[in-house]
Amino acid sequence: MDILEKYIEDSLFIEWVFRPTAETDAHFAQYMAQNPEEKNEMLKLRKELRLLSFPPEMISDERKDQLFKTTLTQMLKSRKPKPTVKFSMSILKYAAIAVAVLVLGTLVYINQSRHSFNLKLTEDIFLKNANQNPTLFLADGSRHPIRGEEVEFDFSVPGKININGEQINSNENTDDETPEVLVVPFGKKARVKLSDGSRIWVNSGSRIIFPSQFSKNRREVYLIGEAYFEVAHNPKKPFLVKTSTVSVRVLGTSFNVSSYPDDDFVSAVLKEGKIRMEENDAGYFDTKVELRPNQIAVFKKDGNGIQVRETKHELYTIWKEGLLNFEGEELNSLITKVERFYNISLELKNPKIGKERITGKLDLNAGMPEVFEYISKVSHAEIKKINTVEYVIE
Amino acid sequence: MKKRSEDWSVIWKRFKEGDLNAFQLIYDGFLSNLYAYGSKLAPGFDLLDDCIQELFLEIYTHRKNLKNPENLEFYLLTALRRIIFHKIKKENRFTNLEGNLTKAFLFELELDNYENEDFKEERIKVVKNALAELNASQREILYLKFYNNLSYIEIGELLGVRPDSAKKQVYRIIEHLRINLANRILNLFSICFRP
Repeated sequence: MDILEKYIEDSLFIEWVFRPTAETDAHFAQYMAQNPEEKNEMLKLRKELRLLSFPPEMISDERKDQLFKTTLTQMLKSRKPKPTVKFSMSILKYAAIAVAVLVLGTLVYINQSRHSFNLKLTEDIFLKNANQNPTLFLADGSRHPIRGEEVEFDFSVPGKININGEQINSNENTDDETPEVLVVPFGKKARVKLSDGSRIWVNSGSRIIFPSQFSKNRREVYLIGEAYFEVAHNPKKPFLVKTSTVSVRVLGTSFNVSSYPDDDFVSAVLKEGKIRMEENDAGYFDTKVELRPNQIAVFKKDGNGIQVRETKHELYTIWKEGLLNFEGEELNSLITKVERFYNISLELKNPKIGKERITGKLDLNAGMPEVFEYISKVSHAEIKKINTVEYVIE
Repeated sequence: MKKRSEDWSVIWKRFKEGDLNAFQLIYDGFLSNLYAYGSKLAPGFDLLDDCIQELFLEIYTHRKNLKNPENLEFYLLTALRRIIFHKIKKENRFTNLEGNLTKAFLFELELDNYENEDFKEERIKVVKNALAELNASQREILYLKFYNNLSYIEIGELLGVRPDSAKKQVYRIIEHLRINLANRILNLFSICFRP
């Protein structure tokens, strides 16, 4: 019994016999090479034990997902809606929406340690909550909607917030775990200067969540939508841009991150320095990629991990200047960007055209008529106005 | 990737605080094993999905008062076993099917064609015979030991047997298998079998 026991009571051995992985294979190959006298006995026992392999009843992925959804629905039904988001009372109105969205599985979780955010929220809450003007929701609960096309919010002086040259005082008596939230509606853009001197250009239809002061050992911001970052160099405090699906880790560099909820991807493009993109809480797979300048990493939300390819960073950062640059992109993608920039709806009557690939530059600052002319030229179609915010391409 | 118990205890803590993402990790991490165990425990029991749902609902509803289990898989298996047991009992009360309870806990084990090797048929015959001689509880011990990698203490607690007796069962079965396998091949070839 003694020889048998040595192996059978070794849970790694049991894993190797019944659920072998590359790691256990390697481990025991090495072990047997070092202990050749045990090799025969081990292989024999493995062979015998494997006769006891019972095919597991597998649950199909579909059934698994279905069961998860019904379970989650039941869970949330029996739960009283509780205010899990502290910084803005207006968000409570959307508790019902939050439940629906949670059921769909769009869960967003922001890492919770003493000095990072402790929020549970869904991307859609914010979309529905977008105001007409860029709005800063401060940790003390106050709201500051700011008129203007390109507003700059400056947090670089502790305790003082400078908005477009005007100073407002923030209430120091706030919970230091509650971050500030900047909501930039479609049709508007904004810039933020963070407490460490890092700068963020926030694109239309985006939200950025950040602490007014970073914690001692890291810098974390949360992004929904698109933003360009120029991160102040500080190797002791890594800078982390989190999205609902992936995180981008930085030491000090300039790059763009795009993570719109209605896009089926999240992308990061690097201009200078070095960044790393990794999946959040991946569970089964831990995908990590490192980018060199002028590379883009694309994470498809429907799976397949992160793909990296060469590009020119300007293609993805020039929106800061109100310019769009296309190189063989689908017309659909251009239309989406124009919609976000002007906060309008542009419906394409013939969806086939949307798949056509286009190359060129477009200056959105030139104004809507000129941009429309360009679109009708490349799509060989006319743009008709339905009302001030709805247009049809046919 | 299999998560270590330290990882699970962190996720469990987050789950207890109401983090739904942690809930999803637990669900994804254990559903297959729970389902496999449940369908072995009560083959053909059509309320297994309900039981699993009930299990997750239960831990979510009472999450604040739950302890921090050392082995989360064992904890969930124990709870699922209890829920299935109750459900079958309840069903029986209504349908009045006598003896269904013991029938439900057959713990049937079918063999898998793991490796394509020599004398496969002969070997499978030996294992089949050996398994047929076991009772449901002995088969369950075997399953929990090899498939859920539970300790004897856990197996003992789950099935209401003494840990050392669970251990003895495992060795008895393996010894039995080894001897029979060897004899079978010996009979066939009159040579001692060595791989």
